[in-house]
Amino acid sequence: MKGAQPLRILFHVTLTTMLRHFESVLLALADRGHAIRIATHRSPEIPPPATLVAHPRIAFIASPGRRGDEWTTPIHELRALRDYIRFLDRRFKPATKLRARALRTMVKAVTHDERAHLVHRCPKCDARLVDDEVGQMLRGFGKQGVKNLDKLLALMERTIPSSTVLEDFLKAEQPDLVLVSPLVNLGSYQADFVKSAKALHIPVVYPVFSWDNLSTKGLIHVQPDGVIVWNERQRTEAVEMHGVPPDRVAVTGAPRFDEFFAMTPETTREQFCEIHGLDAHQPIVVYLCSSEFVAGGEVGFVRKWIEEVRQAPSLRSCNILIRPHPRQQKPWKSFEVPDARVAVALPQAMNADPTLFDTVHHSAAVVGLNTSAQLEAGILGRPVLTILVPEFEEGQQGTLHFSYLLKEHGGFVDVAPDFEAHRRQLAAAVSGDYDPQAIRSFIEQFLRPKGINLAATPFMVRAIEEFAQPAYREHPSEVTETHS
Amino acid sequence: MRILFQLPRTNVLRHFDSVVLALADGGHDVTIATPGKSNDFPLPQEVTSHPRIATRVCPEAREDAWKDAATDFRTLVDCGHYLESPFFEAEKLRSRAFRAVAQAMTGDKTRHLTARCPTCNTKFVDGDFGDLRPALGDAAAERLHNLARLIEDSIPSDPGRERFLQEESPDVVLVSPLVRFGSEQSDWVKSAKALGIPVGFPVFSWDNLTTKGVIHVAPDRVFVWNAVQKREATEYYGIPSEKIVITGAPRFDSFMALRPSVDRDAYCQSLNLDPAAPIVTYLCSSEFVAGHEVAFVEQWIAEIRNDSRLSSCNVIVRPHPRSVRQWSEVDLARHGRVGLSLSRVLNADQSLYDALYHSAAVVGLNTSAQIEAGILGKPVLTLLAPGFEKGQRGTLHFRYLLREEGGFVELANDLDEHKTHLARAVGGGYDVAEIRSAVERFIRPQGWDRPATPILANAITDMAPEKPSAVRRWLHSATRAGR
Repeated sequence: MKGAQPLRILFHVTLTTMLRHFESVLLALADRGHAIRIATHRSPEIPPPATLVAHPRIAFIASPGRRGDEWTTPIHELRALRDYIRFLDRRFKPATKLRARALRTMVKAVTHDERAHLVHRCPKCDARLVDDEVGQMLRGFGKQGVKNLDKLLALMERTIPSSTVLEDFLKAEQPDLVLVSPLVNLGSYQADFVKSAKALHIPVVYPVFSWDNLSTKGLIHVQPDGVIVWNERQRTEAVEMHGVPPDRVAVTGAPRFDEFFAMTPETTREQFCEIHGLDAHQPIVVYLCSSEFVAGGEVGFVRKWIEEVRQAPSLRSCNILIRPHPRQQKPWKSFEVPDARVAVALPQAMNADPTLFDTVHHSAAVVGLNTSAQLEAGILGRPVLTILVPEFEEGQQGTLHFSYLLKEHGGFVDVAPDFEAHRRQLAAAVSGDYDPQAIRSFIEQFLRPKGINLAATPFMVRAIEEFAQPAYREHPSEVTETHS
Repeated sequence: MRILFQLPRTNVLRHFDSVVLALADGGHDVTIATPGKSNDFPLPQEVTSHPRIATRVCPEAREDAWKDAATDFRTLVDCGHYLESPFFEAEKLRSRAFRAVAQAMTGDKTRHLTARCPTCNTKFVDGDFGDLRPALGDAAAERLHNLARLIEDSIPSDPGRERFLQEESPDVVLVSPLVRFGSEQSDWVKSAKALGIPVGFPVFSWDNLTTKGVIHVAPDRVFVWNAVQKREATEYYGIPSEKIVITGAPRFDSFMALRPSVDRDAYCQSLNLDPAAPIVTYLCSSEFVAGHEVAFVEQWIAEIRNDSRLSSCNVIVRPHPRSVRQWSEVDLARHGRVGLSLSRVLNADQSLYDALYHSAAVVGLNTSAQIEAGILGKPVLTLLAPGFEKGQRGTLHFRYLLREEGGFVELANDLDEHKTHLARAVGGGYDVAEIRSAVERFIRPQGWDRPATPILANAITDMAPEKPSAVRRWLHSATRAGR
């Protein structure tokens, strides 16, 4: 690092698996001479990336998990409540699944009981109203009332003191800068690291974990000195949904895809088809499964989708390769393929998976309900399609980020309202009837806004170093107003 | 000794004017601090003319980020209070608490809280939400209590109030009624405590610890009327019993000192009543308790007239002082031997004294004037009136006066039973000593012949610490240096 002092950077993550989206950034920072201390309070659930472990300027340390004072539990309750109220805003009206999850988290926070529900009986019809049906009655306060309630909770947050336990930890570590991610988990405990870093005048920066994080989870309860986002859409989310001052947001692109961008196929088409028992002469349609939260029990739908796809004459003989979500592989291990040109390709990794690269690379088109891997497909310029599935409506239209990738909202994913339209779109895509330039253009905006050929990692590294400068410390604005 | 008495409105002083005068006569300087509302009642002349009593306009709202927010937060906490027993069962109070939340959170005094049942589409309004009692369990309720306590503790003392108190430099601060939805007076308690000034809370009335929310910030001393209120303060608000002083109710001292202003014949003549027949007085309740009571009273009179045991009685209807307008066009004369005794005086009212004094029995749904009737040893009766249940059993204080709860008011479950009670009472079938004993326990627990005013005045002066705290010493020296 030329002309600047090496920094001591403390990166707090809730789980070491979170590092997979920042591996390249941490290595680059360490290579530039900065000392990186990765702090988590849990034992690693999976081994941290070997490259990080092996680097002489990267260390893994244990941090306190929570505040350790009388606010430890109540602050979680307060934040969980505020996170739920966030989802009463009109822009989240269709986000029933997100709101329900936030309410469940709130109830659990207050009851300490996974099975507890918020239950009432209608005094008139005696109907049992449960969870969000009850919570939504807070809308009875009206727009202004809900806004005022959020303001009140924000003020409470601001009044709650910094944790001395976390301050002691930070004092002992003496970092020049603190990074915190994913930060916006519902009822976030990590907000206390931000609070304590600010109390000690240590610059604290939040690199957003993924594309959906600012719209699907909780609030940024305590404003960090800097927020690093992937793209302009996330900048808008940070400002409008989380009250981050615009000048505190740095747009860098998404470093997590740099490695994927740099990959080349490990197999030839023939080798790939042979591995999966596919016909190398036929096009491959890839189905990317979504997470359990978005599309729980997707196996049955995929079976039906194959039947429907096969009804199109041009798709009757194409190969179909199903790629389960990395966290949902079990149901697919016993999946019986309906015909010889259908196969299942189990993932090998959560990030920069060469098998995903080869799968997409050799495909003619990609289909998925709502999953990040659609972005990888876009990186490789493949046409990506989705279909609105009534039973998964909450995981599709019920999330805000689903619309971000759709063509009708400036994205690159073709959406079909039913199977008939989907077959037509898929057949066209497989035959090569799509615009690769439009796909590339969106991917550039979304993942590499500085230029499609410019990796995001160096931009995030620069942003982190920039936020360590004194000018960014102690920003006065801490109260987030979330309701538009 | 310098005593600062902070009140939200001047009319609150009506329950404490005797105490303020006693303190001033005892050589203490008393400042009455109110926000100075344009429609405030004028203070009594004997108060304003006393050389040791001053009045001052004090801040009403906080001047920091918690302006409005502290009130909103406390209103939410107050409402939560009514989701727990025994307050949950107080349906009327619970409804009012929800309405208060809707108004506080929206900042709109006309706002109602509304939503629809997702199943039957029934519209819920305000109090209906109270029926939707959350089923999160006791442990969760305890956690929410703890959260609320921590937040209240985190709300800083208001700099504006601190400045005012520093300027006034009192030895003791008093606040009342303190318990109101969203209580902004809690900030006076908080600021007085922050400055090390002892702060006392004389409870305004018999229902105040159960009807309008909670004590958000505990004062150093709570002055209550009786053992019932002491139990309320400890059980509901966690006030340590050693910080509670039972003083009796000074507001009745002046009433107890009254004598009838007219003899029976003259009184009956003034209201066109038959001096040879007994008088039954009906005491109307507040609008909160009984809403529009006229139709019920007329029905009640008709029932009396149709009962051979009571048909010859005179009836006096005494509207609630705040609901006189309801009665402006009501013609009671058609019932015969019915007089209307109108008065807007809220305390120590001679016309009330006269009405009760000349009565054989008194009836009311749920009103403080029942206590005045008890003071005069009259049999007091009530009945569960259809349509008014929420203002009766839907409040906690209703039962405090009932005989079955150790009080002196005879409760009937319906009109027939009530008429039997009333006929017996009018015929002299009651025990004056029993009434008097219950009233004594309730408003003069130190003894019938011991007025509460000097007891409360002494208890207030006892609050001043013999040796001022370090903060107080600093405050005194800083104030003197600034003068």
